[in-house]
Order: sequence, then C-alpha cells, then structure tokens
Amino acid sequence: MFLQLLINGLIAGSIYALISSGFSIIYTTNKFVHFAHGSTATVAAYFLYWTFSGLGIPIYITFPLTIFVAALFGFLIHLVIYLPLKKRKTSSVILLIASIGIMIFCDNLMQLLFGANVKILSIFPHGRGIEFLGAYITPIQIAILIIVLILFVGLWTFSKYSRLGKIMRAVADNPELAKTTGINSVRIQHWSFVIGSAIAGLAGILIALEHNIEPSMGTHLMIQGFTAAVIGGVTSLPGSIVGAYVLGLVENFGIWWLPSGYKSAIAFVLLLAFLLVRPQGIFGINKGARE
Amino acid sequence: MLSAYLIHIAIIIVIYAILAVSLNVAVGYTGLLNLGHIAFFGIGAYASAILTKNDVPYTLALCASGIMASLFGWLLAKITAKLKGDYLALATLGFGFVVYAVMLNWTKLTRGPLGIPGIQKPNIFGWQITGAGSYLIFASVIALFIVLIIYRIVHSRYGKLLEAVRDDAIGAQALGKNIYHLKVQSMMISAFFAGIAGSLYAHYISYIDPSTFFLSDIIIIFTIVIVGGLASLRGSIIAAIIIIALPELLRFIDIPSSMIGPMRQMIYAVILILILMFRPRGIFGRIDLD
Amino acid sequence: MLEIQGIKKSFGGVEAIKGSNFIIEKNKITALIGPNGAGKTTLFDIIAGFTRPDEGRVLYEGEDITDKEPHIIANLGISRTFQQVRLFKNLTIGDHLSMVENNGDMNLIKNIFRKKKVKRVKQETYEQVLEDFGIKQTLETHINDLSFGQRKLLQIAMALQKPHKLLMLDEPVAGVNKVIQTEIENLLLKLKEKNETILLIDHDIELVHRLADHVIALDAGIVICEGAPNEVLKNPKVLEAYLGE
Repeated sequence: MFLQLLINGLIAGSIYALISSGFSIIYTTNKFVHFAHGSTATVAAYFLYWTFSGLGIPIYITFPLTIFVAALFGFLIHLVIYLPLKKRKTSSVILLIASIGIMIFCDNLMQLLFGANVKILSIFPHGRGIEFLGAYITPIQIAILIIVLILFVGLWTFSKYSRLGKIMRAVADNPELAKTTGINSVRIQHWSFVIGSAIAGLAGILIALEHNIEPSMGTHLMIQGFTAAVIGGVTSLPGSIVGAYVLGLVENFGIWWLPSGYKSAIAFVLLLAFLLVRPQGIFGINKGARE
Repeated sequence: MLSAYLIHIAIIIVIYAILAVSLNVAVGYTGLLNLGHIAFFGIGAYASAILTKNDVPYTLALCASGIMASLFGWLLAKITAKLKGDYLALATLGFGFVVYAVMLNWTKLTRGPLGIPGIQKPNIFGWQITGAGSYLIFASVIALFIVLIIYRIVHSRYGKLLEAVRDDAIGAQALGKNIYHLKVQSMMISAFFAGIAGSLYAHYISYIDPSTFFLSDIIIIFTIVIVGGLASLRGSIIAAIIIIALPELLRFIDIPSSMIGPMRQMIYAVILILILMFRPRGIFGRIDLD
Repeated sequence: MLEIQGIKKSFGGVEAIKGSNFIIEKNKITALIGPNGAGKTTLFDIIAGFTRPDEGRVLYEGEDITDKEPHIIANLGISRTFQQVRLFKNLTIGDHLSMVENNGDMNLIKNIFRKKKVKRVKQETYEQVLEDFGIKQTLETHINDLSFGQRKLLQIAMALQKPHKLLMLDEPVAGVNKVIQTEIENLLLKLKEKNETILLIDHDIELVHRLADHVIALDAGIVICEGAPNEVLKNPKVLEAYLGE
C-alpha cells in the first residue's frame, strides 16, 4: 500500500510539476498569476483528442503539433489580452481576474465543443501494469516519470546555460536591475509564455494518456500547479518542481485518511497554510511576497 | 407563461443584486479582493435548508443563514489578515474551493452531490408564501432593506474608514484606526448578506446541490460588480439586471438547452475581460482596483 | 517623553539600526538628521509601531510601547506624517478631517443610525483648519485633485488636528515648492512657540538650525553625535557623514 501510494504520488507530482514549472516561468517574468495556465493543458488535451481520435492523424505528427498549439495558445493570450492590459498599467490583481475569465471561457468552450462527458484516448491500452514489490505501475506511468525527468534536466540546462535562461533568472532575481540593463522585457515575457505553455501542452498529452479528458480539469490543474509553485517558491523553477512532488505525495497519502473527494481541497489547505506561514515558499527568494 | 418566466428572472436578479452589493462592500469599498464570496452564498443556502428541514422556523433559519455565513467571513478574514493583492485573491479562492469540497463530501450533513430537495417555501409568522409572485415581493423587500442598510453603512463615517483601508491601510493605521477590525467587520457584513441571499435562493429553487456554489460561478458575481463599478451600489444593482437578463436571450435562439449553461459562462467571461480591457471602472465606478 | 533604548534592526542581513539610544524631551523640538540610509525613517517606523525592532525598547511616558500595534500607539498620542504622503485618494478633504477627530467612526452600529449630515459647527472648524493651512479648496474636494504640496499640508494639518502629545514629522518640507515650503516653515515656528513636542526628520540644515532645540545625528544606524544645534552641526563627524555622502 505504502509503495503504491508513493508511486501514485510521484506520478501525480510529475504531472503537477509540468504545470507548476511553466507557471513559475511565466510568473517570474510577468509578475502576475496566469490562472488560465491549466486551461492551456486542457486545450492541448482536447486538441490531441480531436486530431488523433477525430481526424485519425498518427501520433508522431499529432504529439509535436499539440505542443506547438499549446505554445501558440499561450502566446496569443499574452499578445491579445495580457499585453494590452499591461500597457494600461493595470495592476496584477486585474490581470489575475482577467486570467480567471480566460480560464472559465476556455473550460466552457471545451465543454461546448466536446460535451461535458469524459473523453478517453485509447492510444495505448491501459493494462494492469507491471508488478513491482506489490505495487503496480503501467508502462505509460514509467514513460511519464522518464519524460518528466528528461524535461527537467533540459530545463535546468536551459536556465543555467542559455542566454534566455540566464536573462530570465536575472529578471526573477531583480526586475528593476533587468530593466535598467536594457533587457527587452516584452520579448522575454513572450518567450516565457511560449515555453511555459509548451510545457503545459506536454502535460496535456500526458494527462490525456494517463487519465481521462474533461472540461473542468483545467481548473483543478491550475489549483494544483499553483499550489505546487507556492510551496516551492513561485519565482524558483527548481522550487516549483519540488513543490509539485510534495503536493503529489501529500495528496496521495492524504486520501489514506480523507475521502478522495477532498483531494483538490488538500491542495488548497496546503496553499493556505503556505501563504500564511511561509509565503516565499521553500526555496523562494521573493521577499515581501505578502505585499 | 411568459409572466411566470419574467418573475423567475426577476427573482434571480434580486438575489444576484444582493450578492453583488454585498461583495462590493468587501471588494469595492474595503479593497479586500474576495474570490470566495460564492462560498458564503452556499453556506447561507445550506444553513437555511438544513435548519428548516429540522423544523426550525423559517424566520430563524433566515437569520441563522446570515449569521452562519458571517462566522465564516470572520474566519476567512482572520486567516487572511496579513495577505494582500494576488495572495489574498488566491487564498480566498482556496477558501471557496474548500467550502465546496466540504459541501460535496460531508454527505451526512449535506447529502453531497445528491443535494437537498424539497426545501419548503417561507412561512413568515403565519404568512405562507407559495406563488412566485409573492416570493418576488418578499425577496424584493428583503433586498431593499439590505441595500438600505449597506447604503447607510458605506455613506457613514464608518464607510469612509473602510474606503480609507482600501486606499491606504498604513495611513489609516497612523490615524489610530484598527484596520484589522475594519477588515474583519467588512468581510463579516459582506458574508452576512451573501448568506441571506443564499437562504432566499434555497427556498425559492427548493433544491440545492454543491454545483451551484462551485467557484467558477463566482464569475457571475464578479462580472456584475466590475461591470457596475467598484464602490457603486447603484452600479451593482443595474449591472445585476443587465448581466442576468442578457444571457436569457440565448433561450430565444434555437440552440440545445445543454449548450446554454456553457454559453452563458462564456458570455460572462467575455464581458468581464472586455470591461477590464476597455472600461475598467465599469458603468458607475469611480475607483480603480489596485 | 520618549525614550529609545538599544534599538537594533536589520533587513535581510543588513543592519539598518545598530543599537540606538536617545531621549526626546517634552515641549522641545528634536531633529533627527543624517544622510540617506542612516536609518531615520526606520526609527520613525519603529517608534510608531510599523516596524518591529530586533532588539531594544521604546518607552513612551514610561510605558513600553515596543510591541504595540500602530493604531494603538497613534491613539496613545503619537501623531505622525510620512515622507511619501499617505492620504486616501478617493476621499474628500472633509472625510479626512473628520477621521482624525476621534474614533467615533469605528462603531458600525452607531454609524448606521447616525445622521449623515456634518454639523454646522464642525463644518466651520474644518474650514478654519483649511484656511489656517492655506488650502483654498473646499471640503468636498477629492485628494486626487490636490497638488503634492497641498497634500503634504493636509497631512500635517491632520497630524496636528489629531489629539496628540508627540508630533513626528518625516521630512515635512521635502519635495514641495518654495511657497509651500515657507508656509510649512512658518507653521513649524508657530508650533515651536506653542511648546509642542516634535520629533522631526529633515535634510535642510538651515531649517533644523532655526527650529530645533536638540539635534541627533545618525549615520549608518548609529547615533554619532547629539546636543544643541550649534554643536552638532559643527561636529567634524557630522560634517564628514554629510560630505561623505
């Protein structure tokens, strides 16, 4: 039982980490809560469902296409809605409300286009999985763990060694300094939306493979992704990833005692606790985060 | 038939006007960005429904629904006392979600997703309200009373203090005002009337389940408040009429009824985003949210 | 009146105040001078309760107020202004003046039933205040429609109107034009005649010289020198701190 919960926690954590890391990248450079980030994953998942199950496009085309669409989706939201709002010197709170509007729009649009019932993507059959010391793990789950691991090594390398990654970290550490040194902030913000949303696109694919697809999943994903980011420290990329695993494990071990309906509530209780006790998160450098 | 339909819409408008006006006390006047207002609505509805199911007289249940919501308002204000801006918004959203999860899972009390059917119509000291017409009158009288009280509050010196907390909390403290008390009281007032709105809703519809109080429905109340304008009671009332009535036009277009729900939400989302982009102060607003 | 005992405060590892001790005497004007970053405003915030010191105590009329909330300290009679004016941008001048008068506005229930209209007598008092401070706008004017100098004036007016024993002014003449500056200076001289107890932060050495009874010079979080204005302003350490800036 313990091992099974551990595995489940790690897999949930991996998926949350895909949301929280993208969220963190976007938050770091934009300094507002992009609540519709979970919806990017939903849109990606439905796009995959439509192209694969509906149009019958093979996966080696539709997988990369889905990630591209997710990136494009994030970019367009930033270009069409957030950027004009920012130009009016709108406060981050207004941007947050707008992003909730976008989230609700997307979730309902998906429901309108695909219906309220859950969709199942039957690309790989869901077997009972491999037995491993009394716990079960499916090939898809193993794939998720490996893909996420590879991605994070890639992200880490990117943020450590690439020019864009270094600039992003500089902006995170000191937005004022970055501004005075002449970094083109809009371009960086665009890129952070593209990269963050592309990762959310990958999350959408993996969720579609592992679970079912439903319109409201964006909201849940966002709650979990955001909580994970806050636990780790919103402006810290490694922190947001660690936070995601913490959340995945707490949720899965939590339902040992609580009914499973409380799963998402666990995330929020954890979020409230961190906001109150340690708003800068485990690794956060965002001093004065409560302000 | 048409008149029954119009009365129904009117009652819903009255209930949402109460919700918007009460939310405006917290968000518009005090600057507490509360995204969990819908939870107070739900708490009021459940409190009233459960109490009357257990043979508590309606008038008592109505008061209890407000008090119950108000207690949760106290709780929320206490735990978020030190948070501001984004963080406050998210913590309140979280609160709304936790309340929803409890409604859904505490099946012994709330019957969970099955909901509570057969909630009786109000009986006020022997006057039994049965028809929708008399319910509309009843709800309107309560709403009028609430708007009057809130009007008195926000235009009093006390109300100016709430606005002072919104504009510059530190400045208010330097004048010797206890801003924590003010924030807590504001949240409690706001929650109290939302709870009353919940009771009105429950006894009108006669069936409640958690889905009515899910956090995505906060968008309706928020859209009303923002379209009407922050710190404008008149704005909230007029916007409640527009925002609730507008999507009703969908019913006259030939679309499947299952599509109306999502389309309505999408309309609200679009209105909200457009107003934030092009007229952030709303119709009657005089302040900016920041 | 006010006693600062061994106050220490650091922000994120940087020590802003390194063990300050001084006393502010009743009916005197004490000036706190020092270059930017010397810790003057931090000390103000600690006295008024907006910042908690890491160590040390603040005694006000013999009472320890170190851990008290800002509003309680304000109600004990410490009235302050801010370097960056803190007024309520969507309220009127009248709203502001009625707020400082007493805490009757904190009672919700009473205020619901109280008549809205401001009494004639009060109205006249408020108008008198505006006249005294040379603010020509009406009581119904919104703060948004006031110039920076007028806001600064109004803030001082409010701090004075508020029942107080100690007045703390954080750079009252900084950032305003010459006309208003003279106005504020005259006002401060009048207060000096009235024997108000004032703690003042200012950069203007001339003004401090004319106004203060006692000067405390701070540099890098330490009191480097204190005494009569003549002595302190000639002290080589003080000159160095200023010139070295």
